[in-house]
Amino acid sequence: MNILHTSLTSLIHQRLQYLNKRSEVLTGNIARADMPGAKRQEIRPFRDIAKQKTINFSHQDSENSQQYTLDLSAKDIKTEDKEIEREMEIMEMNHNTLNHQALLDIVSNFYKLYKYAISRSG
Amino acid sequence: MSIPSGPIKGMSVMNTQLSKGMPTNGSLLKGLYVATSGMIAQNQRTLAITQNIGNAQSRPNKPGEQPYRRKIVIFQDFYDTTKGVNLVRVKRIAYDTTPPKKVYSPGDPGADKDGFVLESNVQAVGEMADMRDASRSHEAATKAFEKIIQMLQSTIGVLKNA
Repeated sequence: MNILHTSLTSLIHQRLQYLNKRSEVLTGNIARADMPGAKRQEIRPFRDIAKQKTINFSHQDSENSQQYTLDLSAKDIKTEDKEIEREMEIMEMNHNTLNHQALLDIVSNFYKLYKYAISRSG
Repeated sequence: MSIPSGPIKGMSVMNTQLSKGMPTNGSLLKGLYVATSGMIAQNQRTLAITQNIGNAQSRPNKPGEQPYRRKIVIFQDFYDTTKGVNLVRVKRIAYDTTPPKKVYSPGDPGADKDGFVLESNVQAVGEMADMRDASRSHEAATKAFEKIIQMLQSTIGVLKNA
């Protein structure tokens, strides 16, 4: 068993991929804000995507990098029936960045724990 | 000065930077492309507005000539196949079809036999409002760019401190 490849790290990895994709979608909204008739786009909630893609939480085959990949397709991005509001998009972008930072803090703490465990065992 | 439309030439700077050993398939990098295309599009819009403001008082040199017509920048959403991302660019520059203003100025070299001269159809106050809107849009794209850079830096920071 590889301690670095757990179900939790897999989930965090996929959530990070989701947030990265969401930042791309939100930036697209901001860039298209001045286009006449442009509608807001949003990525489907992570929970829904996770359910549909049946994220593999098992420890088996943990070295297979496939389980860390969240395959997001064009179907996962919805066009909403509302105009783009720049301020709203910036707010969502800030929210997205905060979520990203929070996840990275968890990853960082994981690494610290591993380092501590390794130093104690040595 | 002509306003470039069609392929985004400024993107070549980004391409050069990203091609130096960096992968281009990551969503964060795609986000940088999108934000950059938005900023470039707003720059071109600002250029058109500045030309409009500069020519607000423009008059023809000779009678019968047409004065400056207000330029309108039209944006287009397009899919960049090489980068695999939807970008924004200036589709074309349209001209406002509002008729030019007719000003009585008998001494003007462009005045007709009745003493009237045609002046551009630019409304300076409207252009200033457009300028502010373009500025806000550019600022929003810059903020998005900064946020993505912040996310990249945080990710690199975690790996660096691991």
